[in-house]
Amino acid sequence: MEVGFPKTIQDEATRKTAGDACFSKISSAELGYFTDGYSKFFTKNKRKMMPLINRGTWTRVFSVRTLVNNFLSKFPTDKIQIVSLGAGFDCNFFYYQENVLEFNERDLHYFEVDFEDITAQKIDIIKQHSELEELIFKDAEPSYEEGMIQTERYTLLSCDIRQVDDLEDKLVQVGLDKTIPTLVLTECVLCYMNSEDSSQIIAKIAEMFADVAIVNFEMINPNDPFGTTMVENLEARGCQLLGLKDVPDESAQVARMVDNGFQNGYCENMLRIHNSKLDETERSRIERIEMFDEFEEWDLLQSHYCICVGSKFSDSSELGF
Amino acid sequence: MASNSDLDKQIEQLMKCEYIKESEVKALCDRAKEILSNENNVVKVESPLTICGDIHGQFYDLMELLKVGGECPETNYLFMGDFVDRGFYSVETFLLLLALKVRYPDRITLIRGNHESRQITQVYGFYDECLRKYGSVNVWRYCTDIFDYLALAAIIDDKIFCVHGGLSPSISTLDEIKNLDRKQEVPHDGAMCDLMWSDPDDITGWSVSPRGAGYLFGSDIVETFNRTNSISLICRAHQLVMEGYKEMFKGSLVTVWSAPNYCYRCGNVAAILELDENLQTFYKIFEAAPQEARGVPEKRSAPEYFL
Repeated sequence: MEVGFPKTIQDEATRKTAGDACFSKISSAELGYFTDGYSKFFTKNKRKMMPLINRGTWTRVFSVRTLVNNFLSKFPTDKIQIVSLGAGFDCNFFYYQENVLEFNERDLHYFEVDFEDITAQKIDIIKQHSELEELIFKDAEPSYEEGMIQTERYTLLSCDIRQVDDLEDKLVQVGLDKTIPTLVLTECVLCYMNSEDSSQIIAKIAEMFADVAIVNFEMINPNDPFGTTMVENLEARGCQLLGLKDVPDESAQVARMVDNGFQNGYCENMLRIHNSKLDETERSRIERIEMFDEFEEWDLLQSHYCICVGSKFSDSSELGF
Repeated sequence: MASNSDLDKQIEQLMKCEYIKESEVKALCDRAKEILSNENNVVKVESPLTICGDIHGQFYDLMELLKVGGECPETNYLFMGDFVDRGFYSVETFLLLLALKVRYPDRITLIRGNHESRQITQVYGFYDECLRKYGSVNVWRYCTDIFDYLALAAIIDDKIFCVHGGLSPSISTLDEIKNLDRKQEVPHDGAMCDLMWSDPDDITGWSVSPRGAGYLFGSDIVETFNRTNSISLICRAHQLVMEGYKEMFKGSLVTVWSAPNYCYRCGNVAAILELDENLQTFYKIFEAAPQEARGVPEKRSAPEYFL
């Protein structure tokens, strides 16, 4: 018996985070932190976010995009796959397809998986916007299957990713190739489930592919005053960070990767990633966008998020910044 | 001109976190302007006194502060700026402090923080809050006009120097601060800007501030300033301290932070610094107001995270 909210309430609150992530992305994209012309289609409301949130959203988006780029250049000639689990309303596929030549011209397949109702909402919104349909279907006539989208390059499908065998079956059915280099993305996904579930997912990914890396972005450090408050505040909106108790810090993040079949694990908090891993020209550009007066809070917030990269490539190399 | 009994009524109302009418704000600001414009850039105040750091619109936590520190005018108060922005009740917080200032001008001293600025309140919430609560930006205009009249610093018994941010490379004596023309928007650089933006740091001399305004200054700078001006302590706010206060440089400088659980997210405690008539220091620590003391929770009160 699980402690805490019934699973359905927790799942409902987790679904809602898809919209919250959207707010932040719209706010920072509109100010010019990064390019994202499409998140705005996924919510009716708009909110001006604090510079702290805008800058942190940039750090998240830019870090993930940097790792995706590094993955693309690591396998310059192979056909590759990117699988975004718990993708929510993420619009990175549209961004890459429109703006990144190395992506657009590559032989690749991009999969997005989320709960059934999130997927259904995403499909509805795509149907309403020809800009999105053009990026997915190119010149072909848009066609939708029951509850999913499937083209040569893009698949959107629904699955409770905690049902790992079901996840594997569904992905294989729609053409997932276990033999080619694959990048799996989990952004603020694993933290909402208990650690048995997240470990199973990681183990399944490691088992399925010969050449695979996983990029996981989420909260850490639930036990200091900022972390305790974060856990309480999110719980107050019905959203429990079920996984944080067992995976509370960078070393536990790495251990979860290594214990579940990845060769290498690398984890840094977002403050260190922001300060030392990201392109400096880009960093100084975004630092000039808004007046910024939230340094102590910035350090706190950023040190409570991390990116953990697990790699399992046949040449034993790692995916890194 | 509003009478003291009108003022008492407004204070009573503001103490309940109810904002007052726009016309009342206008009258209050007119009276405040008269009082504040007669104050020196460096206000001379006397002990005993309680020193407070940033409040940032956290009205219910200000109520906790007054519980811990005592009501005004029974307790003399010095607030070191950053009354507005970030929290949900900047309007009520600033107007209450201003009304207390007008009602008890010798009992409460308000000095200016870097958030008492037209430009920064448009980014960090006070502007939007005024617009939301009053339907126009008039109240924001009245308040930001008053900001220009707030003193830049205070000196307690000629011994303790109080300022929002810190020191400036353009300032070596208190007289130089007294000679500044303060009745303007916070400039982007120069002495007045530095006083509100600078931070102490474990460095020697001066250094560029990551904030893009003000400077970082080291213990040697504080030592020279304190010696030159016969000061025993610099008291400042401006930086979140998880423990509420932080002494630096062998006790020659202290940061006081008075916004508990800052932005409803940081999990920190807050502090006020009590000085007795012999300038003995006593720190009082307090926590955020309990949820049930906060009245009807605001719908938009969920703090922001990356989700």
